[in-house]
Amino acid sequence: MARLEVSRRGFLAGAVAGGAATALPVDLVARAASVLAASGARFFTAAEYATCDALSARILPSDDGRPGAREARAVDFIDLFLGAFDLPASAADQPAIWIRGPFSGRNPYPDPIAGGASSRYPPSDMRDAAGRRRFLPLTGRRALAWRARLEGPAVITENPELPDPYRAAIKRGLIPLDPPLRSLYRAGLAAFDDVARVAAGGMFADVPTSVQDAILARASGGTSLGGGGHAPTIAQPAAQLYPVLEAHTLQGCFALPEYGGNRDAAMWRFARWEGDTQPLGNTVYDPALADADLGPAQGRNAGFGRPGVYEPRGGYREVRLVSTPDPAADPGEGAAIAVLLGLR
Amino acid sequence: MGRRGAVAAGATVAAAAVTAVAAARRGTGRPRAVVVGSGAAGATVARVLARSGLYDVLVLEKGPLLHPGLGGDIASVGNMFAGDELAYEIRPSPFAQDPLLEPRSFRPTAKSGMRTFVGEVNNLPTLVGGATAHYDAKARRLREVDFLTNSLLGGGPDSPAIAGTTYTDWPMRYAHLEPFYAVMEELVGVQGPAYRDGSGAIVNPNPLESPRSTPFAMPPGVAMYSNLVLADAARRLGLHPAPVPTAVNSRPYRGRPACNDCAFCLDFGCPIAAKGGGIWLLHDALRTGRVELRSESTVVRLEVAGGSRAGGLGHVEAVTYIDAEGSRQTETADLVVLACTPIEAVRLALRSGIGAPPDERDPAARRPAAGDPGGLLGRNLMFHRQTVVYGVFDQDLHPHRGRTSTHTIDDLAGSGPSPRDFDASIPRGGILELGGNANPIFEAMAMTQVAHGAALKRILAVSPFRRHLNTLTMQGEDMPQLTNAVDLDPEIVDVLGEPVPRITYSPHRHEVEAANRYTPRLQELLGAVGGTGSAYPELHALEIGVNVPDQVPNDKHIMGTHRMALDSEHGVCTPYGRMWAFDNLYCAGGGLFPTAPGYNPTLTIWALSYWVAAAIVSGLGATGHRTAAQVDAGAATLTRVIAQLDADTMIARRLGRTGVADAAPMITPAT
Repeated sequence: MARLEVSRRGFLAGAVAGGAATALPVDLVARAASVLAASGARFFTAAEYATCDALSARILPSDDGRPGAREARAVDFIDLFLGAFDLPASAADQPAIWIRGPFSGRNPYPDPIAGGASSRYPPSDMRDAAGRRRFLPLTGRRALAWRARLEGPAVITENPELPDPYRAAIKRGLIPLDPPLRSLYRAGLAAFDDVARVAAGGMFADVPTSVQDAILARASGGTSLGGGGHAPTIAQPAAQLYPVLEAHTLQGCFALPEYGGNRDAAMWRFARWEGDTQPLGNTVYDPALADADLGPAQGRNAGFGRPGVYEPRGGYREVRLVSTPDPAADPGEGAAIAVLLGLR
Repeated sequence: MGRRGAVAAGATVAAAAVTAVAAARRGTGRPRAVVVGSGAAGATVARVLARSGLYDVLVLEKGPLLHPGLGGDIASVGNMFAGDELAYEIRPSPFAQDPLLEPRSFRPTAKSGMRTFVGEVNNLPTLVGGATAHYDAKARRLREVDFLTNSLLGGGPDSPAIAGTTYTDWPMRYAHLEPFYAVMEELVGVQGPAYRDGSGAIVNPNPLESPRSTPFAMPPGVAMYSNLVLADAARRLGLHPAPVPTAVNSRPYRGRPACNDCAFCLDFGCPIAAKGGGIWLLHDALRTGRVELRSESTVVRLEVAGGSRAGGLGHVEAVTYIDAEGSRQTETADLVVLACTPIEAVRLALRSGIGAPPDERDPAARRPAAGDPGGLLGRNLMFHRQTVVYGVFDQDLHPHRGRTSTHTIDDLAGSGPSPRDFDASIPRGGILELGGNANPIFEAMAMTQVAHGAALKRILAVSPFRRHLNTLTMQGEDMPQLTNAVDLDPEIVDVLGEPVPRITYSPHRHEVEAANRYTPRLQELLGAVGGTGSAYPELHALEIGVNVPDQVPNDKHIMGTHRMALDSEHGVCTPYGRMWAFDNLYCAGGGLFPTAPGYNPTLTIWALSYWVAAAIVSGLGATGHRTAAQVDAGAATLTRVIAQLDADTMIARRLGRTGVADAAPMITPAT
């Protein structure tokens, strides 16, 4: 596949040359501030929360007027994960690692008689009646593994209940374990603030977005800002955190809203993604195509286009679908992709 | 052979428990079978043994039970799976073997040192019901030629036709396994295109499959758009795309609903129980009342009896496992079936004093050892060599809407399906799976390789991967080699203190050359989408690329390691799955495969598991058939088990109720 030829240097130079990048609407900033106050963060301190939120906001920005990581509250997703084992019983029934299915309650049951969606919705399996999140139980030793990922190898190496040779294999690094996430965040967020102070005299969240972007460009290993020679140096903890934070921010944007981010599923709408679709699914039953003996046939599907006819007795003929462009799709999308891929 | 280490320290309490349980068991008057693993193989074996009425069955599964109500009314069996990309594709998943707790090690060859990687190597989901939770349920049969390719190429039992391999024929033929394919297609619920016409003849729209005696249980479900555009191009190139036989309901079937194409199939558990799999066979088994399931129970040792039985055979008298609370337990067994993946079966055997690891200085040499006279245990580990070619298209293909893949093409699997069509000059590749999808978190994280910030967001808005990607995946046949092996890592243990499996694997020249040869065909196919003569003229590929396979194998199609053969010189197991050196130790699953033809292995695992279980209940398993003629006669006996135990199936009606073979004990189907 062709490497994308999007020039980070050009993009950032433009942002700096044009002064501050498009400022966020004031109401969004205010909303974020109020969210922070009411966040009930479980792991982050208030300062860390603000720094993490500001970093996320540049990883998937909303300068284009469409929701990004800040509006999705990716920071809440990250905080819930880092504090997965610290949730009070009033907030979750299990450590917050895997949400419990099957249904979110966002999608209706199909209507096999009329075709299409019914007006009946299942209750959410992901929250109980009191709004408490429900997660899958961590069976066996799984809690140990997730604690080690969050808190570090001592959870295993200092646990006398575990076999000595296993503890030794972890201690010697024979079984690889990534740097523990909680301390990675603690040190990394502080380092980003340090860099911002040196570069622009403020906490990361308070310096102009152009400076934030320049710092992130360094942290991500991208090209440094040309010309001025004032590119800030990035402390090691910030550089170590960056790829993890970027991945977690994107997860927080596009995961099920029940994980704390992707608020109101706004990022799914941005991506034109249906998200979880059960129990409706993508095939909408068409009673006109029902087989007498086998129950409702699967036929008309809004996303697929118009189907041909299924013949139950003349043989199982392949259901043929007529191609119709997706009405939601931007007709210029192909051309845009070609440009982004550097093909045109 | 010597009893292995006896029951470990601290087992006094466990031994008392065993005595109590054994006493309770005696009341039934039935021998007890212990089945290790509850996936496609274990659930099938447990079901047949229990339905025969001849055994009480204890199923030990190391994974958790995620289907509350299993074994009760099918309409009330629940599950906890969601359309949740984060849980099932990004984080170590709820049913994955956690690589921190149960790592495996890997190295390309014995010369690479002790290991080159530790972590996730060929991990399969570990949960009650097994890996059929995560698959996209392609249920393909092998073809007639796949059972005897080595002969067709000019080889013989001692002369693999391909240098540097242990290529061989299967001990049975397609015709022997055909009724077992048929019954499992119906029990699991497989949709597919073959149907019965007005005259009663089977019509198969896929001309490259071998003959079948029954139609599919259900017609094909809705085709995916991303697959139709590829199928259209393939037809214009003279290929034969066809709806892929899939163990997913296209109609309400046996108490479970029809699939609604929710977009979360491969990697995901089915939230509405439309996906067929081991879990529903296990449900059937539990309904007999003769099966006990213990989840979160990891078998760590087979307790091999001292002395030897008639014919000098070994005997397993108990299994030791670690239960959900971490306590060591031992259970007596009259019969043991290993149904726990080819890798774990070898690990368990080696830990129990059966077989020997390869000699580090001469890894191609066999090492005959106690329990493994042929010196083949753990050898001939096979995967499928995946060749992946993808294209980014200018039109939105909504490739996620569907069942991951709804069509396959068999033209690249080698020459035609019948021995009459065999052409040695055509390289053996494998089936070509059309379609495949990417979800939004994956796309966003992948795109950080090329862009960040606002640039990343612009890319995600148009979504080159998630909305515009179409993929071709060829599952290429992998050659068996003595040097590709499973043994125990010399240093690393898992969270239970047990040595972890070590995988030593390098591809053979054959599959690399086949992949190289077919890659341009795949690129040609993607390039032929759209344009003049197409039903989709407005479409075309903007970019076509090839995915290079990872160095560390993460293939889920795992085969070999305890292959079947007509004698113990050529295989670890008999044609009926019993280890040649034991009177009561059987294997089921992909480990029995002598070769790895390029078709998804699960349906063949199912068919072979029914075959093995039928051999056990008919008494045939105890005999050592050593000629093709004996196996041919034996197959008729085994087929009668289908007629008796699953009389309500299409295949049983076709076979007729032919009664019990003289040598076979009375079998009472459960109600």
